[in-house]
Amino acid sequence: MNFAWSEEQDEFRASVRRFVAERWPAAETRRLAASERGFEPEVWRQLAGDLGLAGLAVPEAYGGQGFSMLELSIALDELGRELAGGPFFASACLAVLTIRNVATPAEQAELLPAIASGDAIATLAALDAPGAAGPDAIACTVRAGNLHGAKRFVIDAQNAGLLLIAAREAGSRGEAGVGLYAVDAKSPAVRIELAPGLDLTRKLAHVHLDGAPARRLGASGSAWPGLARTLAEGAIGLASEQIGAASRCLELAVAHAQQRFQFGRPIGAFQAVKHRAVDALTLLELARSAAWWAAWVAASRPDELFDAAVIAHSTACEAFEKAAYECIHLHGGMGFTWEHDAHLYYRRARADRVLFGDPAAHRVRLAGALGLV
Amino acid sequence: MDFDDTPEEAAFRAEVRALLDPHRLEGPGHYRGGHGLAEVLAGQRAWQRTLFEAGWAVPAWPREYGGRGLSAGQRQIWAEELGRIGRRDSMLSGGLGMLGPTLIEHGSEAQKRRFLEPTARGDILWCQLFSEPGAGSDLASLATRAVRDGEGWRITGQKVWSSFANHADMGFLLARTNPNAPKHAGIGFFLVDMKAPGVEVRPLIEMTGGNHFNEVFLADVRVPGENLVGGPDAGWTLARTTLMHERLSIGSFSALAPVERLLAQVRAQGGTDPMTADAMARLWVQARALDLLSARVRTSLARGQHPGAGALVMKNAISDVMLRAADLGMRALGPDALAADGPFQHDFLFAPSMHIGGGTEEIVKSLAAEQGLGLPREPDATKGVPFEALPRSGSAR
Repeated sequence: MNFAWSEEQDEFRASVRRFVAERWPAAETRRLAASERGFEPEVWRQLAGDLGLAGLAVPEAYGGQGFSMLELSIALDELGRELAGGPFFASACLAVLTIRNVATPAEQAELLPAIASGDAIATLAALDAPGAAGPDAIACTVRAGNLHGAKRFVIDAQNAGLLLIAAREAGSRGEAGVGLYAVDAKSPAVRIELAPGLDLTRKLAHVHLDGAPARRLGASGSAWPGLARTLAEGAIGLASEQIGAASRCLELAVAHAQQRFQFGRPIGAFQAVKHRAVDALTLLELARSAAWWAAWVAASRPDELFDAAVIAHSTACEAFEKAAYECIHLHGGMGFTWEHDAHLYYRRARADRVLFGDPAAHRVRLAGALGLV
Repeated sequence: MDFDDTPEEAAFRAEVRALLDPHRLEGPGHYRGGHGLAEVLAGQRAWQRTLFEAGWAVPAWPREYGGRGLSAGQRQIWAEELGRIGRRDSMLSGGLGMLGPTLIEHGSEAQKRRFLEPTARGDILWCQLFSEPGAGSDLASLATRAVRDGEGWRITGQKVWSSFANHADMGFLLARTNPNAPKHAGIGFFLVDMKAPGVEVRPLIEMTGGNHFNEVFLADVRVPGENLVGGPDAGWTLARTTLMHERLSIGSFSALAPVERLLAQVRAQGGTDPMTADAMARLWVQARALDLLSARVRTSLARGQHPGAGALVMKNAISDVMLRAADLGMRALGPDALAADGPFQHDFLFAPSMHIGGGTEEIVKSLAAEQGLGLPREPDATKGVPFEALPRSGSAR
């Protein structure tokens, strides 16, 4: 057993961290939050193309770097620290994984190169709204090659040229009849409505499909297993992003506690303050261990993917929420201001709990699998 | 990153399994309170001798001291395989896991020759004589005195929370050799014959009704000079080595084992209500994550790297899991939790000790904050003050 990153992976992490610190620190994320896009095209081009992040998980044959969930998780962790990356999560993670899990080799060869170069931005709308539900939560239907319905809170849909939409054949139920469809966001039958969100730094939009021309990817009516796999991998990727963000929250809180003096000493010397910070540290170290392992599982142990997703997602949500809360609390009144970044993390932490369904909802299935109900 | 055994690890596991599998222990192999301690101890001594004869008594020790110099990864496999045959816990662990490594690091050649082999063979049951009624979390404020007597020492004082002292052959003891020095200086580390005149052991009955702990009274006990380990002022450094090994051994427990026991009980009774099931699923997630953290720390240790902040939070995290597992176990029992005996009653009664022994929850958190997060120490009013001048419990006016 070896629970450590390779030298190459450590170097990769360092290069992403340098880039993010220079070009996309939290202050920049905060500035971009006011825009519709949420990213600066020139910086995206550098991140996606020069650093090659957009094609991290795209096979080399299709213009990518051919890496696994391990490298994706490193990039997400580093971007998460500064709430940076814009459409990286939607396009380089969710969309790429979806295409790899569902589309045929010929379709992959056609769609992936433009995503890998960063020229195209894609996103995934699997369920009709974010949640932990199964395929029954897909009511969007395909009739005569056109999609009808709506997808709520789709990540970075306003930036995407390519929408990957899960829809079912009319009259089908459950897993059967669910297909994956490629939709051109520019189609007049598609209306994309920006959804101002609780999380100011991850852009969401509602997608309305009113007979939008769609092209099926993969085999007919059999997309669900690949989508379910993508949702599990997505939750694992999100966990890494949460670990990065939570680490940053704790660093900010600790730095403040070291330099803020009250009663003649740094407040971090008081046990009550120390113990709050360590409570956050404990959850973070558990979650970090789970997230790293889960990324390895996604790359190497497909049969354990769903367990790994629940463990990583559940621990990461708790760790990030705790760290974001303590970051506010340990900064005192200053932490409660709009001006301080703490609320950006606090908002992100709560929104992340919803994106792939509340961990508590996933634990219902886990409790069944463990034979407890 | 790779969570599978390497070919070398797989070969090592196969070798260990072939050795251990014929010795699977049926029935309780470790002492859970109540009667039968002497029988359990006899069984564990016999097993330790079997291991000794096979050359596997102390595989973690260096080869020159009869060990096999196992790597951190191999030690974990060894512990897992011992767990598989139900022989992971041992009352002899004070000698095997704490005193032995301390002697190897700090003992004289004569002390190593005299004590290491009989300890490895299970001939010496060691007990720890550190805590005192007035020195718990602040162990360095201990007041037991060691006064020179020719070539040797005379020791007088009182120790407490000493596991298995009523059955022990020898104890490793901290005593104050110089009351005029600040509290951390002026402490010696002594090896004491528990049968020596002046040693009196009084068993303590814990809230479980069982007896692990004892009070040990020392009245002018003569200890020969060759039983002082390190210099007369080196005791605190040695104690830190010993306590580090104690924490490591607590951290190497699998968090999943108590949770799996809980889940097995619930499955056997045909499941539980949804709220309890969710609490159990959440505990299972926490235990899985904790075992992963433990694996991460072992990898760092195996690579000779500092294990980082993660190692510092493990003791509290495993204590939380044990507390929660015991509580949920009692919940699963329904009305049968009212009975004196049952599958979780002992765990429930034992659980409050988890956050007290081996460093209280608060002490561990403060250490993690200072060493793991770099937060400043609290000002210590006793710094540099001679032991004699320290305020003590009951002395405030």
